[in-house]
Amino acid sequence: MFSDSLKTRYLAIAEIIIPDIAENTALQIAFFTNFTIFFDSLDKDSSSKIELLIKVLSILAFFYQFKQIEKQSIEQRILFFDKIQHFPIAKIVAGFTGLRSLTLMSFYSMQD
Amino acid sequence: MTFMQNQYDIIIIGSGVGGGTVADELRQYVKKGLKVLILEGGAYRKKEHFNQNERDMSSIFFNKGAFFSKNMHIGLAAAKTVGGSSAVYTGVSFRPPASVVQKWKTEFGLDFLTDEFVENTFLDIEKKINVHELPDSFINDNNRLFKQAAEKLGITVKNLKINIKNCQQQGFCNLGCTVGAKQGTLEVQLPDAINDGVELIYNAWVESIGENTVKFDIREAPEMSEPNVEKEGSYEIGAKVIVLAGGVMQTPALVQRSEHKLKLKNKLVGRYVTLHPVFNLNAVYQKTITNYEGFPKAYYIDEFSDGEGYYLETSFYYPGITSKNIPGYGKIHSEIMKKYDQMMSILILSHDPSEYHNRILIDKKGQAVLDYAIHPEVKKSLIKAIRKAATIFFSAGCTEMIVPGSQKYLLTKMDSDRLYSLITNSKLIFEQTPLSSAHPQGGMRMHKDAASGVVDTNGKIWGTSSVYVADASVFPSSTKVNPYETIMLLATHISRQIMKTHFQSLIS
Ligand SMILES: Cc1cc2nc3c(=O)[nH]c(=O)nc-3n(C[C@H](O)[C@H](O)[C@H](O)COP(=O)(O)OP(=O)(O)OC[C@H]3O[C@@H](n4cnc5c(N)ncnc54)[C@H](O)[C@@H]3O)c2cc1C
Repeated sequence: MFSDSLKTRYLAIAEIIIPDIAENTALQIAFFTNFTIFFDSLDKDSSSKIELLIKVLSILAFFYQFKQIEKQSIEQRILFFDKIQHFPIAKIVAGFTGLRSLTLMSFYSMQD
Repeated sequence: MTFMQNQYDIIIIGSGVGGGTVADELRQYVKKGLKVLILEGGAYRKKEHFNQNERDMSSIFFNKGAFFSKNMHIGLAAAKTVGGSSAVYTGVSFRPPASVVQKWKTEFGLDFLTDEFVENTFLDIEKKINVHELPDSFINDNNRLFKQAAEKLGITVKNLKINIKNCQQQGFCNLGCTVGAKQGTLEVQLPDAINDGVELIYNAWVESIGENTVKFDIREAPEMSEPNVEKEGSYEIGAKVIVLAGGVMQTPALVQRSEHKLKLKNKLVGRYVTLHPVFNLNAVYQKTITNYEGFPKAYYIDEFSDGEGYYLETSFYYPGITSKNIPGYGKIHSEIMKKYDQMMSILILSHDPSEYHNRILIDKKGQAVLDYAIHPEVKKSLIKAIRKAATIFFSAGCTEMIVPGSQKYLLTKMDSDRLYSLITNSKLIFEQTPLSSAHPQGGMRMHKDAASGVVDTNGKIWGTSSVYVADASVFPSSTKVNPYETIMLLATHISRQIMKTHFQSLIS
């Protein structure tokens, strides 16, 4: 299960992947519930890698703007993830792509 | 650890395409006293347990359908359930191309693949599981538009053959069929085998094997599946013959976990894996189209197979899978996803060579790890295939699309005459747009020489006297087409060889 601080940081990332949840609290709650169900059923190895990745991305984001990721504006976060797409460490790029996929799956697999 | 009293003649590990075919072939001898047990690591989900919900049904798959290579360039989907991946496959039915059969005979010594054996076996298989071309009433807009557009471009489009019966045309197949229309092992071979006395234990994960012993754990039955019949716990059981049919990821891993007990030292175990790498592309058509009806796949193009190294097939997937198949994220991605009802979809299947360094190994916990690098020629093929698919989309009347390898994120009709310069090798970055695979093959290569393969041409692991493999892992190289029929062909041969070698007295 995500701690509160990890949840806040993750949602700051998820809002960039799916802009709709940045503007709609009810949608964001429904999305995060679905995401948690996906996340909790992953094998231990994958879920700890995802937790670690969120922490690493938050630290990198901090050094990019000298501001916590959740305090950065949407525009600042968009710029940061544009940079991440071309980050010199391939594992970080691939990891972010994996997180993107899980986030998208969790959002678009919600039943109406 | 409980030692099971029952001793079996044959234990089959895995109930998918390979394992189910072996069980079906052996069931005639059960009446004559042969004792056969299937151990399946996945749960027993019947048609009433499938609900077409992407989140719920993702648990049918190993690691939720995303088993990634170490470099994360490709994600593999394989099912862990009774019926194996046949419970989630689309049922696209191909015989292997004649050139592949020829290569397997001449380069690997699979001489049993005579024209007569191949033809007769396929006729039997295709009759039993109802392989046929789809009637016009099953053709939805995505398929119709694909065919019209490709033909307008002068490309020959062929009809796929599918193995379904009483299909209710729900438009999707890959989360299990709610009406049991798919004629995979879950619906056909396994019920027949169980009826004739083959035993099945599900949620039974095999940890290791010896020459005549199997160690396994019966785990808790997950929600939305049949309850366990046997008690949960660790067991050991004996058998005269063991048949491994856990699939390409799991069979080599199980053998590596068991190397000590089997006294095996073959460095080719797990090697020469091919994945038939896939991109699924989507584009937005000018108006709403009906894809939730009919059958998702009806047509294919093989015209570019020999020269450029790929097939194109029609396809259509659920929203969650589609969203991850469309590259990128953010506002434009969201806008495109809002037009899901207007989407067309094409699957690119590229042919990959079998290479020594591409392999399944195990980590410290004994779990399968995929080490796989995309061949540079495959990357070139993919670029050609993306350009071709994008051309077909525009020719069909699509207005916009996001595809891998493009310099411009959103391609619109105005870009249709400069696809060649926009979609390039240097822009195809697998960390950003990973491939997927549902057709892994190899890893336990069949070869007539002990020094060049892992199993002999009867399917027996070189260096053992009674451990066989009968799944996609025995393929010496890629079939280049959707592989389930070829797996059934080889599994049929291997079952017959097992009977001839070990239970001759039961063959009348
Ligand atoms: C989404 C999807 C769509 C596909 N569509 C098509 C198609 O249209 N046409 C086509 O030809 N092919 C298709 N395929 C591929 C096809 O399904 C596979 O090639 C085929 O099922 C592989 O057969 P197999 O016997 O090697 O393994 P599987 O069918 O995967 O069966 C292996 C079984 O062994 C079990 N197992 C593994 N390890 C253990 C263990 N240690 N203990 C106990 N049990 C174990 C697994 O749980 C699994 O049930 C598709 C695959 C997928 C995932």
